[in-house]
Amino acid sequence: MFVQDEDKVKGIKDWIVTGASIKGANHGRRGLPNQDAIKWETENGNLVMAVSDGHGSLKHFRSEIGSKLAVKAAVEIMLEEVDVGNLTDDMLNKIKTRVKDKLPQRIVNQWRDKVKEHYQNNLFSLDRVAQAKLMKLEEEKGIAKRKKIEDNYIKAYGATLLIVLITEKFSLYFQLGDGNISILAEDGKKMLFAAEEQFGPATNSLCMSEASNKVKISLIPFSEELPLFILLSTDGYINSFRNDKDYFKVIDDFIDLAKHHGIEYINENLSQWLEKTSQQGSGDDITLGLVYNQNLFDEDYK
Amino acid sequence: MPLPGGELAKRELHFFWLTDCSGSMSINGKIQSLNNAIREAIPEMKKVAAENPNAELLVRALKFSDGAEWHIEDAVSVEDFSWEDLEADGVTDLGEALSLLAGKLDSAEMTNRGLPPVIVLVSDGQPTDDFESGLEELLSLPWGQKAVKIAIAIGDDADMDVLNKFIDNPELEPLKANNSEELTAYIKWASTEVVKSASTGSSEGAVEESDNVALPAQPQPHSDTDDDSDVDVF
Repeated sequence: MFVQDEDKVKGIKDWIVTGASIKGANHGRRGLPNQDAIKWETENGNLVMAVSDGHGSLKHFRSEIGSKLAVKAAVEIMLEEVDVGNLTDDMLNKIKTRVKDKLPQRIVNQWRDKVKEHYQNNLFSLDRVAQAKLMKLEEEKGIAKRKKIEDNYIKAYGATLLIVLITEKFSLYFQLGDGNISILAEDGKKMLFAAEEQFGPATNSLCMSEASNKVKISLIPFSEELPLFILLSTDGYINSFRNDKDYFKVIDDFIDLAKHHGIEYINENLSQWLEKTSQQGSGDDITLGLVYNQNLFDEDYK
Repeated sequence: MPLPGGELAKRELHFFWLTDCSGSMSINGKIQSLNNAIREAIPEMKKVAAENPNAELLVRALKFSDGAEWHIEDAVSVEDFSWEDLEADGVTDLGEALSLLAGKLDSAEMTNRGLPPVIVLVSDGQPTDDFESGLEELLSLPWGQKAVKIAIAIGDDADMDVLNKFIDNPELEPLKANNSEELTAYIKWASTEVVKSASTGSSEGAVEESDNVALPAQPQPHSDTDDDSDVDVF
């Protein structure tokens, strides 16, 4: 699962990635699927990783599909966006502006197109599972709620989206909805990108009518800040820890594990660690993406 | 080897009883019906909590009459939860109760990692103090807005407008208990079915103002109590 040598991102240093997505303990008990998704790809020296969390409540009954379509849309658009040939320093400001102005809408549109295509090939009226979910929704919340979803099928696919893009000149972070992008910077500072205190189950979502306006996005040139380690996670992970301090310890632990046991070891064990974390913690699905800067493993790197 | 990261924890679900202990609650056995109903619901509440080992159900209770005070101030794990009888006397200082509750919801004990709190208000009358100020204080807090708020009216004299304002959700209405049997059913629903929904942790796309915990259908009132001598009619 980790990036092979020939695929490693060309840049000031190489990057190594791995990740996993597991069904939450609670979802197992309730007979629900894993509604999270993760995808990463490299192309022309760029690396993109996306993580998505499909909303679990009844009205979002196709969210496990919505999350898969979200990570697919994200990877496609991101790689297209940075496919600009040789990236010079002069181009950075233009890219920065374009990314801020256009990228959220492009990604949301790509997701909506994919959802539309899926829906047209799988109409609610011809899908027994969808019919059963709609019936349950009607019983619990009334016919008006059912009609709302039937008239606006996109809501059934609701999901969040987190993305990180690494090029040879900059990193780019994108967040819509809950979940965390945690970053260890070169100066040792640990931070959460676009950290917002969220109370309760309602989250910003790709299925909102003004979704692109809710996106938090930031392009950071490596000349300003070079990340050493980036961790993308759905909210089932942070919610499994007693507090922020207990959560942030994962950054040190995953770096130590990579240094002392190697990425293959993490790769082999990650799913079972996340399953145990879900069992002892939030019970929610957990998806984790790990992006290591190769600098971390250089003996002489300070 | 230990799992990556620090200490793991279940998600806390804070449950609050907000009980009216004004003098009118002593009429027609209302206060005793409430005591009995809460006590009867405890085993079911424990069962629901046991079915979701990823949520830690913690219970508190607040009573109001002449002023407001905690009946159970420190959160008690549902496994250790028992009910001591309330007594009725005095007026209906609901505003003060909401203010006291707001203080707790705003404390370090209520982190945003928790599940939405469940607050169940039971009342038979009209507030005698500045209810609006207490409510404003409550609803100005993130957890005050996002808590699942259930209101149970006992008898015909409860102020439904006040209870609706407390609920603050156009999709929910106060439950009206006309007798002890209905009160027991509503108390049981609030402390089991509502808890079950609040403890799933399922996320919602924030596409509508009212999006929060998806609640189960509200119970329907019973009406065949005429021949039942064990049922107190309020």
